[in-house]
Amino acid sequence: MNDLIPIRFRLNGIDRKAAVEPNQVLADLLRDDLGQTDVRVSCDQGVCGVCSVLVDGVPVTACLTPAFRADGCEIVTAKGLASGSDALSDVQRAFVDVSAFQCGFCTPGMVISATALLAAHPAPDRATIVGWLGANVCRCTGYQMIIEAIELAAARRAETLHVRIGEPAD
Amino acid sequence: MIDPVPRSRKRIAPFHLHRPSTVAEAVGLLADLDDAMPMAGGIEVLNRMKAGLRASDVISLSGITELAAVQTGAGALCIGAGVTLHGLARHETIRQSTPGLATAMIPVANVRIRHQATLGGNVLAGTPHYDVLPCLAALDATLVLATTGGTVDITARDFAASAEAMPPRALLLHAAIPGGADVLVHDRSMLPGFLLTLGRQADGTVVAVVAGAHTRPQARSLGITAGELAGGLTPVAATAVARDWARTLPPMRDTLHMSAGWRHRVVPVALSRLLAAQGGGRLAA
Amino acid sequence: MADDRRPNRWPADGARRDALDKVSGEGPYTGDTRLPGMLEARVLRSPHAHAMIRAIDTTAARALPGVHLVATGADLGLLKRITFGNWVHDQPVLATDRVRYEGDMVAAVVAVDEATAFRALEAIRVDYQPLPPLMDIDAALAPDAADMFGVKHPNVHMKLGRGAETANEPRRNVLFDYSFTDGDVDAALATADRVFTDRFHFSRIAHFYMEPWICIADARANRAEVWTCNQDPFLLRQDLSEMFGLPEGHFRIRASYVGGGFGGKSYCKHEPLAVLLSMLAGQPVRLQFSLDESLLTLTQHAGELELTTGVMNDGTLVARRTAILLDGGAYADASAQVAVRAGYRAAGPYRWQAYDASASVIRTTTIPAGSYRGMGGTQASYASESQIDMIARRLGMDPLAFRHRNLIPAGVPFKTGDSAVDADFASGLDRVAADLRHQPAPAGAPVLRGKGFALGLKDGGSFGRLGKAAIKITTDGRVLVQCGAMEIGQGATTVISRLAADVLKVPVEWVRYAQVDTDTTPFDQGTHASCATALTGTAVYEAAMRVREQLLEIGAEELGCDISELDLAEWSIRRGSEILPLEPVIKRRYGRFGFEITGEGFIHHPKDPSAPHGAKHLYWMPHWVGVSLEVDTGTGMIRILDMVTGVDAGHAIHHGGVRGQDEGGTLVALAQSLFEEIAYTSDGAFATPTPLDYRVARAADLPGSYRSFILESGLGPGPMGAKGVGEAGMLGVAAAVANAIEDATGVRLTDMPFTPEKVLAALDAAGLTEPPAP
Repeated sequence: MNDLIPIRFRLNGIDRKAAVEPNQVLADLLRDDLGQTDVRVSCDQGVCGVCSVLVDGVPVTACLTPAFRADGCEIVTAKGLASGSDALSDVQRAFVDVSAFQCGFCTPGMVISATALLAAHPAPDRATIVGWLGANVCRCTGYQMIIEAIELAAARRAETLHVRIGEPAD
Repeated sequence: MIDPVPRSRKRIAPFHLHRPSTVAEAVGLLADLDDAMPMAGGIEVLNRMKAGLRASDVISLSGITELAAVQTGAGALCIGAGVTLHGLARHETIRQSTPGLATAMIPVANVRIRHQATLGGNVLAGTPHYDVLPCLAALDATLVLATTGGTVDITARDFAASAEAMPPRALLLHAAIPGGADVLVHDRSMLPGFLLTLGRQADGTVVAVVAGAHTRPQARSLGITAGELAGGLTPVAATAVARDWARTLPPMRDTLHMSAGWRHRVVPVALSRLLAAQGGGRLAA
Repeated sequence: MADDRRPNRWPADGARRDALDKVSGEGPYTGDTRLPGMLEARVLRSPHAHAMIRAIDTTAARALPGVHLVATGADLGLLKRITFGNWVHDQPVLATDRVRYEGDMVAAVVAVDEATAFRALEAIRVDYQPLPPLMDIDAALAPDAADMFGVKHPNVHMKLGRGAETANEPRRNVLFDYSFTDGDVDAALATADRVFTDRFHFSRIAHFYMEPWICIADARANRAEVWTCNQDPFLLRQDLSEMFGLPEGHFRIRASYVGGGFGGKSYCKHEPLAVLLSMLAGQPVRLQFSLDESLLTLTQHAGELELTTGVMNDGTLVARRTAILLDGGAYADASAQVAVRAGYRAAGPYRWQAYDASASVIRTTTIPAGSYRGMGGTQASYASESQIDMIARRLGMDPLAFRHRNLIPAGVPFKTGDSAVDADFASGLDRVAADLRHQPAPAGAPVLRGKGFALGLKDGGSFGRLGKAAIKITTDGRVLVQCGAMEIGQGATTVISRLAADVLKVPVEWVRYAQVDTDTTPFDQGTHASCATALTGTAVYEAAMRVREQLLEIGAEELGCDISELDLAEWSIRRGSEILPLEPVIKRRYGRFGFEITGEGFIHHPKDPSAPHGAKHLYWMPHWVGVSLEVDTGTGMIRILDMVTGVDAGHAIHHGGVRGQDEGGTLVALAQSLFEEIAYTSDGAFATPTPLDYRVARAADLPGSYRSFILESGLGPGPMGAKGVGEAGMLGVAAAVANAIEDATGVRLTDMPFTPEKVLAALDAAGLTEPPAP
């Protein structure tokens, strides 16, 4: 019955092609077909945010998004957040420095949300962070250290920016 | 009683996918196919299919550009059924014409869901405490539907009162909001018990809507004008207005930790506070 | 307002050892394992709370292309014992003749893929004859209640110590009885000026670990390999051995990172079914549960707790009697241990002339209850710290002063024969009282404000536990630590790596913590009772010391001096200012093909029949809580304005790790106090079956402000005085909230969770609200 749908997309900077079933969700395309094990599924209902990935810069519930909708999109998972030779992005680095995780199962989704948040609000206040974290459930940490990690990443970016502005390149 | 078969994305039964690019095409598919389900953002459809709902055909609406349109004209603001909740909150035209509606959408659900959920999906889901339908009912908006026989209008308040008001095999095109109407306040602080919405009608009167207290949102006029409300109601007056308004509501529902009795008790309290606060607190003390 | 938690405090704390794996998304977790030829298994569950199975028709399911097999309770012939459970083995691998809760497992399908497995499950027809459900303790104990089992099960008698007795399946629908007597409570109560009896209802919550339960079994050949998210690989190996009648060595259990457990992934769960299905299929099988199914697998214990406490008019506590009934759900799991701990711990951190306790586990047709972070200590602390506050107020005393008057000081045994208290309870109380911010309600606002405190308490480690560890170090100084402490998020890898690095004087980045594998990892009794730091950590410390000794001996021989002159430094031997790099030395001694130096550590916390629980408790785990809140008199809604909590880490090996344990547990307990609950409708249907229905805390549920603190008494039994903190965060919260509500309103709530509805009803009863509209 299923008619395979050919799609093309970019995944963590690499062009990919796939043929997907109409009833396949994005999480299964990424995890099962493309081996992207950082895309994990927990609630399978759009509630918990564990499976969050960025699609064209927007955090998306991969367990609740049809795979065919990835056609023509730029997808970034937690493993794709770092750039260049760095193992981690600045947001991920802040999560490390604050120990803003415990079991780690929700962490890829958390860093995806945090990345999108800082793109939209470079200097978020606590209420904004709490509002965005409504997209993610963490059962281990009690959220405070996650909030602090996001604040730390924002503060470091602001510092970097300040240094760039304050000290002209020679 | 739980479903003996677990809920799972892997349980979504196979279906034929249709991806029309025009409304006419979609309406034709709905008319021709006996077991077809329209899918906009996909949240409701996929979640129900994970729980065992089946359809032989799914009509994906995301390729129909006219459903994502926001237009003003003929004394109304028309918001396409495919506009996301994020779009409702951020679209420049909506923010200018109905700033209260745009503001109301900012805290709904979460950022992931707001980008995926659409006006149409949220209105048609039938989930008692979803946010868009009570807002549209508070504005006395009209839902404009496409059928093979042409467009059909039903009021958001009629649809709020009964899902039966929706003709079969119809496609929700857009919501038309009369010029001058806007959401005054959309209060989510009483969730998961209920949410309250105050809307200013085009004629200046105020409608209050409670959602989540019943299986469908309940919209009733408050019998006051937006000017009177903005001028400030004393707590006593606000209480009287809220109690009169609540007296006409049908019996409320029981949900976990929130009984009908608690809702009957608290809905007018929350409404009276909301009313008293609209005057900028000038008379609140 | 000063905030002592600005982010710039943190980099100094150092990264957790599992940070890169987890923050990058790398893992691995059990679900990342894939075996060639692996089939997919899913299970069919009972929609009834209680029913006889008349017939199961699997014909259509078996006929579907891609279905390898359908197993029911009639297919358990390969098992020597078809039931599991701690102490009492009463839970069948699949239901045989009867289902005992909504969600009980009735059949399993093995298929080429999950989609096919679901089609097959949908095609199975089960004919049930419903029986009267027993949805709570009262129903199960009613004189005319049906007997849920009607037979006694294979079981192991739990032998405790002085004053404590236990019994398995003593009466109809009763799983377990515990009693404890320390002195003559009746005689002591007769001397008290006042005696108070109060009853408390403790609600139950789900573990809601984010990684749904999963197990992969490959039992094709002469052995069975199991990959599972279980936090007790060695206990599981023992259960599998007993159930299949095969040697323990037949089974190899392998672990990855565990995506949260909180007790819900302890002891044998559904691994026997996965192994059986793989044996029957002749191929590797992956058995997965959804998060919905994980909610149906295990919960915390609801309970009814009655405390009778005698006190003198001057505020001196005299004696207490505790009577606890716990709702154990349908099957045993670890209920017995929870009852033991709840009964014992309800004494609280106070001096008594006499104390006695009874705790029984009642079977109901609900989700099985078992281990849950706090393990009875949460229930006990809730009741005890509520009543202590109530008594103080009845006597007209300040609740904090009343506590101070009666606390057990550090160094004094908790009970005769038990270990001495190793925490300064008083200093933590002073700290929460000093740190809590509390302001009166604004004039005219329809709210009442109050503050409340509690001192939760749990013991750590009992039943004569042990820890083992092995360390290997390569010629270039890289360290591999092997021990059975599972990384379930609590930071075991970090603590253990740091301990080894500290002793061996190498950078912590040089230390790798091996994933647990029962074939190669030294034995362990399970990641339980917050023992990973105190017990396994000590074994790691010992193992590292053995390696250190060998290295120093090499140095002594090379330098021709005594060991006492030497120390380790950065993979070198140091004598004064003289540095001898180890790598060339070891290569010179053992040849160019290299060498590994190994060391082992072992600690056994001995049994002691003169201790109430047959062994002295390893350490004491307090949780200090202060809450400032306001109660809305119009809606009954509670807003937490400020909160302070603290734990005693003994010695904090990683401050971020300790803090995270406290804050994480605290928020779960706060949610449980206010709204989170595993619930059934009045007609007995499961009311919270999916994550959309089951509300857990999100960031927005944090208190208006919240600070946690760490005390380091240095008195713990672990390295440098360390002890565990993993379960502390659950303990004191519910009582502190209830105490604050009474402080605000004068009304005492004893029925958790404290929902707006219950609050409003209590305010009504006290005449604190306007009468409802006509």
